Amino acid sequence: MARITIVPDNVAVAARAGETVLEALRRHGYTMFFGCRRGGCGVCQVKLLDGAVHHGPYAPQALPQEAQDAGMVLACRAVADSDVTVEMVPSNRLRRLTSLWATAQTSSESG
Amino acid sequence: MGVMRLGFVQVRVTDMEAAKSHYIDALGLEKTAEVDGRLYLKGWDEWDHHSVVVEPGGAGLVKMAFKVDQEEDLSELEKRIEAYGLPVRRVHRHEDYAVGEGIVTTLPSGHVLQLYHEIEVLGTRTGRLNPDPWPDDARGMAAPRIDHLLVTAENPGQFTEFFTKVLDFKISERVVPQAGSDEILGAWLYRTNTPHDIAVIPGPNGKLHHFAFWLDNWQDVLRAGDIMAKTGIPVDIGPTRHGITRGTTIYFFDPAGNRNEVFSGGYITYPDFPCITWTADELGKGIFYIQRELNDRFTTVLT
Ligand code: FES
Ligand SMILES: [Fe+2]
Repeated sequence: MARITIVPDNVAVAARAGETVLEALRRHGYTMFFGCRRGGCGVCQVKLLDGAVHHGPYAPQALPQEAQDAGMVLACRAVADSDVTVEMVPSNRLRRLTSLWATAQTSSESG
Repeated sequence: MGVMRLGFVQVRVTDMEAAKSHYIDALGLEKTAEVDGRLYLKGWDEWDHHSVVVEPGGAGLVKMAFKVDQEEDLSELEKRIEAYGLPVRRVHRHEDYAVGEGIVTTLPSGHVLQLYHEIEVLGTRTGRLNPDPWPDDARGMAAPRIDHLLVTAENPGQFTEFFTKVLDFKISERVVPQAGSDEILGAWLYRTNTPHDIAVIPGPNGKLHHFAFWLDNWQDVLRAGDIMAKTGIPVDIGPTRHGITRGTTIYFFDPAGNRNEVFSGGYITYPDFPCITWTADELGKGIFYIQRELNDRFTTVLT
């Protein structure tokens, strides 16, 4: 199980096998600004600071070469191959959605 | 008479197999051909060979094609487009599978526009003689036909001018900065008797906002939403209603991230239909009448 750490928030969630960064975040009660969830629009770009990911299918325009060179990945298509650290872009923001559900999730994981 | 209606949209996808299950199994379109890696699709109530062409290569709009009323319209419109200052290329017969001769141009907004008259006619399974109201083996959302598309342009006013002045489209509704202004920020344009065959909003050139499939009623829109939930299709917004066009709607995404819409209702238009105006400050209501708020996804998520 890969650990996904989001900075600057320092939130860490555990991803299931094959789960994308965005799916793992949402399953743990977090969200961020995203669009198509299918690798087409590119609005879910985050910066990979550490670790390795592989991408599911995405359109070149959603993650152009310059963005790749700058270390960007698509949260909706990137699957962590190791423990990873990703950084939110300044225009995006990690948000906690359902605190009740997240609390239940945290206690079941620590238990 | 000129442009008759929206004929087909051609879009790129990242995964052809995923696109097939989306457009054929979930939307319920019929596959009419698969040639040279391209997939040709039509709704069950469409007579012509295709209304959607899907090809591999990412996401976004390859081109939009409108059908003209008469063969002669092509040379007339070719002259008009050239007089407007845009280069026109002749498309020869069967350069596009099942489609006859046509003309193609790239608009100042970067969108590729094709006009054609002839296309292979396949008919429908309900037929033309004592037909039943719908075919037996309808799948998924069972979309009967394509309805319209919405694109973005850096200069929506210029885009609108081309469609109205050169192609004789009429404006059903427009968005202006404030009452009394004639500056077009967005326009809904028609040649048929629907509220729109194509619409434009501000945004980057060359981009697709969505293309839409007609459904007969609000109940079918709701049922389409159920199918999206059952099959894991990402929903953008809805079910809701547009203030502009008064249509009921769900926006959702295909497996390549192209936005689709199921659309039902709205009024009819006709040659003396007046232009309805929305001011920018009320646009939230214009786009999503019930939520009354434009979200960032509507304005920034494009392919
Ligand atoms: S949300 Fe569209 S590419 Fe990730
Ligand atoms: Fe629409």
